[in-house]
Amino acid sequence: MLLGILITICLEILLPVITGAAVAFSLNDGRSKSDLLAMSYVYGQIILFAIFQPVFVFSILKDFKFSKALALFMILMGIVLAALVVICILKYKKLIGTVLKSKIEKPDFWMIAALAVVGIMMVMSVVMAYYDGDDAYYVAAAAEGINSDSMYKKEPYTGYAITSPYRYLFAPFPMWLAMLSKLTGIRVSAMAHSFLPWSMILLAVSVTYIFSRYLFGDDKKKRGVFMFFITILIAFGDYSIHTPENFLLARSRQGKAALASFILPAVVALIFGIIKEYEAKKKVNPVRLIMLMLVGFAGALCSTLGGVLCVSIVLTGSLCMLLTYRKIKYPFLMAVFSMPCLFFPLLYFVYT
Amino acid sequence: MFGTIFSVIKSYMGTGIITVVFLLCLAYLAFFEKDRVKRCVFVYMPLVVIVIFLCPATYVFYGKMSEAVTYYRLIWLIPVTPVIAYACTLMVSNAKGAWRNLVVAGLAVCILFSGRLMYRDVNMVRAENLDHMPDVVVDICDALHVDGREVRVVMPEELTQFVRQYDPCICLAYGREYLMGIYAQPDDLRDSMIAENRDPHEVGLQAVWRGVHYIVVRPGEEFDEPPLYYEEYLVIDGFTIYKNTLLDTDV
Repeated sequence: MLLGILITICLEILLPVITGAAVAFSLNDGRSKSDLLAMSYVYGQIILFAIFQPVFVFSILKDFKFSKALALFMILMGIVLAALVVICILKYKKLIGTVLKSKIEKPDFWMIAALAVVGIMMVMSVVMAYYDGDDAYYVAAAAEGINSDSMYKKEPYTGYAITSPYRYLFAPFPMWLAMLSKLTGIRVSAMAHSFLPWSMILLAVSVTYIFSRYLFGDDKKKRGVFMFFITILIAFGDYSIHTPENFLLARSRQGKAALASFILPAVVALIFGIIKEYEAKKKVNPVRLIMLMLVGFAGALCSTLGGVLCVSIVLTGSLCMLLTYRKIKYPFLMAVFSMPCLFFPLLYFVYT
Repeated sequence: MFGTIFSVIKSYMGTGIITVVFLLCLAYLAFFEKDRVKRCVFVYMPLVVIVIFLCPATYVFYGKMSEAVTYYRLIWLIPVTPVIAYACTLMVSNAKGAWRNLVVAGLAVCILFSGRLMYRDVNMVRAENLDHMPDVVVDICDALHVDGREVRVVMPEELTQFVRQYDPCICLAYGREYLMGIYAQPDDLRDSMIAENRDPHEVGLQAVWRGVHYIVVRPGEEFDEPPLYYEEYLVIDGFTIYKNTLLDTDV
């Protein structure tokens, strides 16, 4: 179990951070350790999700075994990871050295309070249980994937042969859960309910930390207060069962929770970054547009409608940018770069 | 149409206090935020999403693409939490020293009372294990598990949602779809299990025909005599398990 927990930490924190470091450095949005860490974590997880989605949808449609799909993903991920690490070392060697040598900035009182609330939420995600019926599909699909080394061949509710798999197979988030379970050796149900939620909480909070950077720059006091309000709003967000906060704290093992509390806020953060950079430099780093495309893939992984929601919010952002600056180039590019993820909902409509 | 959309909003916003707080924060930012970028993301974008959400054509289009019951997911496109947090932070930014801390604490208390603590939700319970399911499910599954093969089981309906999360080798004769109602097909075995005057003969015949290895019943709901072709096998945490005498469970 201890080894499983260590591997879980590597897969859920270290791997995304290393994967996203090159993106965080290239976007140049912040130079402090905490900013780079949060950005690397968020962008790295988006890249992991974005690679996982096409590999697994392709594998499911091709009737590959789960283990074969996993091997494919790991090979592809290995290549991407190696490329990103090489880019990071070659291009940002000096910067990495400077960041590693720099001291961690002393947090403001309210930032410490926010961290305490985050810590409480993470502990509560293990010691408190929320019985949600939808887990009977998502978690059982992941468990069945490992057990029978197949994907969406059996009805998760009962184990009978599946009659219509198409409703769910274009958003194979349960297979992500199955992958974590397979690689760590932790049972799927324990992974889903006790070991995945805290990383989802960290991801959601990291996205809002990026917001705090965009909104307040280096003003530690305001960032601390902002993050404190954010964490309180999350903890007390159970005003109905439909809120992103409810999904995050109660049902974080489901793809729609990742979509509501991590992916969609990350899209808004990316739009924010694009408009902010355009305002300052009148041009936008193409990496931001590529990330906009990848976050759409990540959204499609979480829910069949995830891609559509990602595109909707990007189009909304494009419209607002167009009306604010009266320039078509970047709003148009944002819209174009967000579109590829619509391929998955399109496949869903073709098959159903 | 508007009625349906407003019922979606109503079910989303709970008491409605947070929604009022959000709208006030949005109005505050619309009046006082001068930065073009921040206005674009935290004022214009939410407003456009609200307009799109309220548009009946969007509801019709969404209903054609997906299930209308999930229409509330469009509200996820509005960054409600960051907007409230940002507006609140701006409100306290003019206060200095101890006053600032006092105002932050005061606003936090207001947020606290306008929302509801997740851990006070009726569905949130203390976890009995790392798998976050009742211990009785774990005990029953461990007792029925056979290495290297699947077994089929009839479980009390309130436990069906947990079984295959914990052990996919245990298949169910009928599952969680019957708790959801809308997705369920007629099922003779289930009908005979939930019948008011449960007939062990009928249950046994239906279960054997469906290849069920075990029937699990709740405490106090034991059969007067075991179902046809079944024998009493185990009692775990008060739940009685009947085993099929015709089908073996060897590998």
